[in-house]
Amino acid sequence: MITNRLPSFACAGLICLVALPAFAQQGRLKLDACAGLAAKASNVVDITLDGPGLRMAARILEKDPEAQAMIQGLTGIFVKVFEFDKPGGYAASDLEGIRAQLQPGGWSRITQVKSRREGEVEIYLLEDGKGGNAGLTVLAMEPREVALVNILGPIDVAKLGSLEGKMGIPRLSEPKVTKQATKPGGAK
Amino acid sequence: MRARSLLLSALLVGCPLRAGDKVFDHLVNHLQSRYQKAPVGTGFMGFMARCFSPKGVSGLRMAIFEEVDTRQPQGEDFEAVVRSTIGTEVTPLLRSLSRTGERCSIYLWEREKRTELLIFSSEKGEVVLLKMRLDPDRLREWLNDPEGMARKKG
Repeated sequence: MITNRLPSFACAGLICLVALPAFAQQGRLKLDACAGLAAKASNVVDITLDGPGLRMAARILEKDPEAQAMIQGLTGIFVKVFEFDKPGGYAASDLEGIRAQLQPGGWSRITQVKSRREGEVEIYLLEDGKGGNAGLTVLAMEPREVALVNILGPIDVAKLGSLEGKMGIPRLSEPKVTKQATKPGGAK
Repeated sequence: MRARSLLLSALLVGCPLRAGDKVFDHLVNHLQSRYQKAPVGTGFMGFMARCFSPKGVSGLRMAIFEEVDTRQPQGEDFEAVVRSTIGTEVTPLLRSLSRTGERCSIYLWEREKRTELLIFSSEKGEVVLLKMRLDPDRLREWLNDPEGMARKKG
């Protein structure tokens, strides 16, 4: 009898195998969608810290339990930095490819900081549908630099500060810019 | 007699560091066949670099390919070779590409409780490959306070 069901089991297994990577990569942005930025940039830096890299980072931080706990649940940290020769070397439209990915699928902008001199920073959270979050994205747009940070996994925003001053992450000074927060879901 | 002893001592000091690093040798062989040129920095210069490497760094290996044609895109090809040598799940921790064609990739992975670092740098006419083993405790200290550690000279 069970042999009759084998094709069904095989199909179910196959679907699980296909779906698993997609689930694991939920919230991962296609940072390569900024072809316009890459073409104009004088330098492009990619930082990828996924499975093995994060496990190693957690071991390196084993003497710092707070910071270790912060990154243990994460599945990936992806950073892309575009540097430009001149201020204003890019247009806002060059970021459309990224912004389009942040509109649907549970991403909501929680913070927007604008400064005439220092540029603009936007922070997005990915809701997990259970009251928590499953990722965080930061867009930092300075006159000569654009940085995209895509972090996957549950993030306790209140504990983010525990990473300050560790692993090369600078200590944050008091912001001297006007803060303009928007309601979750109210991006753009 | 003294010169022979010195030479023998230098070889004995150098041998354990040179032996057993198949990853580095494989990558150097790949670059050597690609550029049809032998690297520099693997001999005396590499020995000196090992002698003066900071604390927490061991097994430093270096190969410099000078006056080679770096105009051909080499990044993706080299990444595939690295993956096939180290392991398919190893991806560059950092990748930098400039408009002028300068390229740098940094790989960090663990093998047998050791943290290994590989740096591949390619710029106009020159390719540098650097590999070393890192003490995880020392690495954490460097990451937490790079300026302070640099002042302490490692």
